[in-house]
This record gives sequence, C-alpha cells and structure tokens, in this order.
Amino acid sequence: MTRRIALQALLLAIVAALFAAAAFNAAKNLEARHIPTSFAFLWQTAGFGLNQSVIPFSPLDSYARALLAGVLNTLVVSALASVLATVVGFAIGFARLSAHWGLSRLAALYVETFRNIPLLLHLLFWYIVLLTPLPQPEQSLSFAGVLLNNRGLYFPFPGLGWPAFDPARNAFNVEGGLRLSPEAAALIFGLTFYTAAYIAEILRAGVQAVPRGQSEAAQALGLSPAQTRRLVIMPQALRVALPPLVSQYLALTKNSSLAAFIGFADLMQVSGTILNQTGAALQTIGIDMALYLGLSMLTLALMRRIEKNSDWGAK
Amino acid sequence: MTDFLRADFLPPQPPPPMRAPGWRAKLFGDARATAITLALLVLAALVLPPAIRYLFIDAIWSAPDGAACRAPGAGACWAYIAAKSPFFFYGAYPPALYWRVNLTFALAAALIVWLLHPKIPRKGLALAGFFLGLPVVGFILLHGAPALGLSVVGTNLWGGALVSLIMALAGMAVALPGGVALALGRRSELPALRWLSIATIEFVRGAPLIAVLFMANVLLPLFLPPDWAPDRLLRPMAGIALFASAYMAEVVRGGLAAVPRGQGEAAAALGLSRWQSLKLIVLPQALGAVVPGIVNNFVALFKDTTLVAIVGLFDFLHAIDVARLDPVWAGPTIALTGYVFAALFYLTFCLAMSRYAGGLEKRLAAAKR
Repeated sequence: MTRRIALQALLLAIVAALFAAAAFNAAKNLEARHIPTSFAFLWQTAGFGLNQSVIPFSPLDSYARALLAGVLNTLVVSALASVLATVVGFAIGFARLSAHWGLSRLAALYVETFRNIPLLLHLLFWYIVLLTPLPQPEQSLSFAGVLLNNRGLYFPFPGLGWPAFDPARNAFNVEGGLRLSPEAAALIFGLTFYTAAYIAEILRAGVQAVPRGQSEAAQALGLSPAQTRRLVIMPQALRVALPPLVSQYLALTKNSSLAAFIGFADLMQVSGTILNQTGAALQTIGIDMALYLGLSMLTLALMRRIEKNSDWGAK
Repeated sequence: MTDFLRADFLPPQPPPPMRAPGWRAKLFGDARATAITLALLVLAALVLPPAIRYLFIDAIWSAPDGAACRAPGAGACWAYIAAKSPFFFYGAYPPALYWRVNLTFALAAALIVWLLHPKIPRKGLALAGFFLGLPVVGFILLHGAPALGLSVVGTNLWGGALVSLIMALAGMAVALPGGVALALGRRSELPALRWLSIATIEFVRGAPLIAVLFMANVLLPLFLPPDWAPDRLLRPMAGIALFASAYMAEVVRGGLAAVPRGQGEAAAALGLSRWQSLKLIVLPQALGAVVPGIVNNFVALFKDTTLVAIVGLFDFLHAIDVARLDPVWAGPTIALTGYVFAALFYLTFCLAMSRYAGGLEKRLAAAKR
C-alpha cells in the first residue's frame, strides 16, 4: 500500500518537475525572443484578408474575429463534407454489397485506391489539376443554374438569387448566388471522396454484422427484398455502424485542417497566419487545441445522447 | 377458419443447381444485371481509352527538358519523373553517398520481412534489431560518424522518400512500445498513472496531426533550454511519434481487453511475477490478436508522414509538389504526372501493408475456429 502511494507520488513529482522545467525554460525563451505572453494581441488588427468567410470579414478586423471566421469555416466545410461523404459512401457501400460481380469489384477498387492514397494528395489533385485550369468568369461553365469558373463554384441560394454573369453590371465577376471558393471546393471534394471510402467499408461491416437468419426470416414472412432491406437489415446495420460513423465524422473534421496546405482559411490556416505575424505560439496553439478538443468532446457527448435516447441504441 | 391453409400439395420443385453460377449468369442473369453490366462497359469505354492514351501512348518517355512535354497533345511527362527521381527519393543528399541510404533501407526491409514472415524463426532477435539496432545503425549510416570514416550529412540535405520512410520507420519504432506503455498505463491500478495515460491519449487523439506538428515544431524549442535547440527533423519526428503512440495505445487496449482474465490469474497461480505474466502470457496474446490493427495503424502513419511538409520538411510528396515549379520542366502536364507517380508510390506501400493485414486477419480468424 505504501509502495503504491510512493510510486504514484514519485510519478507525479517527475511530471511536475518536467512541467516546472518547461515553464521555466518557456519564460526565459519568451522573454529573450520578445514574444507576447498575454491574450491582448487578439484585439489587434489582423491585416490579412480571407478568401472565404461565413461572417463579414475585412483586413481591418481583429485577430479574434479572424479566428472566429476560421472556426466557422472549419465547421461549415466539415458539415458539408460529412453529408456528401455519407451520401457517396453509402452509394459505394451498397455497390460493394451488390450481387453484381462487376459493380462490387468496381466499388472495391474505389475503396482500396482512395483509402491508400494520402488525403493531402487528394487535395492537391483536386486543387491544382482539376480546379486551376478553370475558365475566366465570362466563360463560366454552367449546369442547371450552377456556375463554375476560376473564382469558384456558384450555387443558387434563397435570398441571394441565381448566380449570373452580366457584363453590364459587373464586367469581372459573377453576381448573386452562394460562392464556394476553389480552395473550399477542393477541400470539400477531397474530404468527401477520401472519407467516402471509409464510410463504404463501415456500411459494409454493419450490413454483414446482421445475422443471415434475419433476412431469411424476413423472406419467410413474405417481405420483398426492398422491404427486407429497409425494415429489417438497415435498422440493425445502422445501429452497428453509428459509433464508427461518428468517429469518421470526427476524423473528417480534424482532417479539414489540411486546408492549410491549399490556402483555405480554416481554423488551422488562420491561426498559422496569426502565429507567424504575432509570434504568440503558446496562445494560438492553445486556442487551436482547446477548440478541436472541445469539438470532439461535444460530438461524442451528442452521440452518446442520441444512442441513449433513441431506439437506435436499444438492446 | 382454415381458409389460409393449402388443401392440395404443390408438385416438388427441382433441386437447386449444384454449380455456382457462371460469369454469364453473374453479369447477364436478368434485366437488372444486364443493365448494370452495360452501364459499366459504357463507363469503361469512356474512361479507359483517354486514360491509356494519356498515360502510355501520348506520354513522353525521354526528353532532355520540358519542351517536348509542353507540346500540345502531349500526355504524361515520364521523362520529368526520370530526370527528377534522385530529388524525389533522396532530396539533396550527396549522390556519391546514396549507398548509405540504400543500405539503411535494405537493412530495414530485411528486418521487416524477418518480423512479418510467419516461417522465419527467432522473432525476438528481429524485434531487438528493429527497435534497438536499426535506429542506431540507421542514424550512424545516414547522418555519418567521423570517427568511423563516414562524413557527416546534415539533416538539412535529407529529403524526398528518404524523409518519408525515416519518419514512418521512426514513428513505428516509437509508436509500438509507446502505445503498449500508454495502454498498460491506462488500465493500471495506480490512479495517478491511469489518469496521466488517459489525459495523454485523449489529448493527442482529439487534436489534428497538423496541430501536434505545429506544437512539436514551435513549442518544443520553447520548453527546452535555449542551447538544446532540437534538430529540424527531430521535432516533427517527436510529434509524429507521440501522435502514432496515442492511436496505437487504443489498438493495444483492444487487444488487452480480448485476453481473458483467467490467463493473468492462472499465471499468478503458477507463481509468475506480474512482470513475467505480462511479458510471457498477456502481451503476446494481446498483441497477436491485434496485429491487423497495428499494421493498419502503420498504413495511416505512412500516409500521415505527408503532413510534415507543413513545418517545412521535404518529404516525398512535398518534393514532387515543389519540383513541378522548376522552370526547366514546368508545363501543363507536369503536375498531374507528378501526382500520378506519387499516388503509385503511396499505393504500393499502403496496399502491400493492407494486404498483409487482411491476410493475417483471415489466418487469425481461421486459427480461432
């Protein structure tokens, strides 16, 4: 008993000593390099613009507002990519489970290829190879009201109207609609198609976890194959798939930090810029960590509530 | 009352066919299958010919500079890959000393085959070689040791696949023992140790790798005495090792949970000390059960090494991404050629590892039955 207490006391003493040494060194280093140690820098003028922002942002706004815009960009991109990845992933997962040999092999090929190429390469590919050679605004490619040019992807959106290029009103750019910058589009595409490969495998594992007897019993009761899938297989498969699905969404949110490589103004990129401008390393990295950790914990807590409250989690 | 009961018997049906359906039945069995097959054939007809033309027929296989690749209608510029491959694989490492890099990775490959191939005996020796011998020998070979007559090559000259593989190997060599230590700490009876382990694991797993790399690159020098200044390669390496250890800890935890309690109790009843029981009874079973998970973790680690570019290192992908700007070669097809080559490189390594994990999973499942 005393040995256990002594061991733990020793461990805590070592950790405390390490922290103390780190703090001591940090204090000395920070002073020697004239790095700010308070959060006051947050209210200084940012001086840089963002290529895409959910809230109005100008270079005259503060660093704090830039961070807020970055967080919102991270959240919006992650949410959009999560929805799209689920749609694409489920489609590929069903194709993988298809009885058709060719379709199933094609889906397997997709999964194996996309999972085994680093996400960064996906992003660079979308950004540089597919989105850079886009035309000027006056030669926008258009499809069903959606316009695509080198300034981004324009969607019709309630309140913003239909996107249109009208040289009489603005000879240089498309007006109206919701604009997605090429950086944001590349990030969303890359995240979607990369994560879809994982989601397809999660769906497949979920469906295969449902015992064979279930579909045989449904068939014996006279349910059609479509009914069997919708009423018997999928509810049970989704129950198995929900926890890994949520951790995939979390991974996607963390992966959206790769935006820093293609210059999309997400939390990571904005805080990297702030770090370079102010040198306030401890504060910016601390804020980043707190936000990402908070986001994961919030999502996990939410998932636990869903599992507890809905009949999805029922035993 | 008995309306729903059949009064007359149905004639017996013929027995189901014994043979599995042939390819014709699989692909053209009914209208739906035929429609899918035709759609796939149309897709292949649309995608494959231009792809083959671009990658092989119209491709430029040898050229002194980018002029031929810039011509209209030219396909992939493989000549560029050939010309730049020393940079892609070795960075700015002195060409006369490439043998040192090759020798290091040949050694690593031999040890990995020894570790992973089920038929080669004496795994303990291989383990010691990989986790203790290789880091020392590799460092001496790559960095150089004047005392042994090997001239010093500074890490600022290292780049390309050399850096990617070093990061991955160092990450593996730290992550496995680190992950085991964190996983054991997590289920320790000592609350202080347990909470420290949980805090480390959850903190690292909650953050993106880029944030951890930033932290290692910027904060590590702040927390150390000013004259220690860790090497520019060592800082991201520490970040990757920490990150991989936390994820490995969760895999190992799954393995530890799969070992029945009775195993440890039986070991204790036989008079084994806790350390002996851990080393001889619990850990071999726990790790054996999760080898596929461990290898999948290594795949993720290898893909994650591409992110070290954020702190200014020239790993394989970053070297390719930078080389496309070289004015001698720059042209419309250069970026895509480079990315296709990078994709092949990562696919080869990751697929080999995934295939091994998949095969092992099947063997383990068969052994359990």
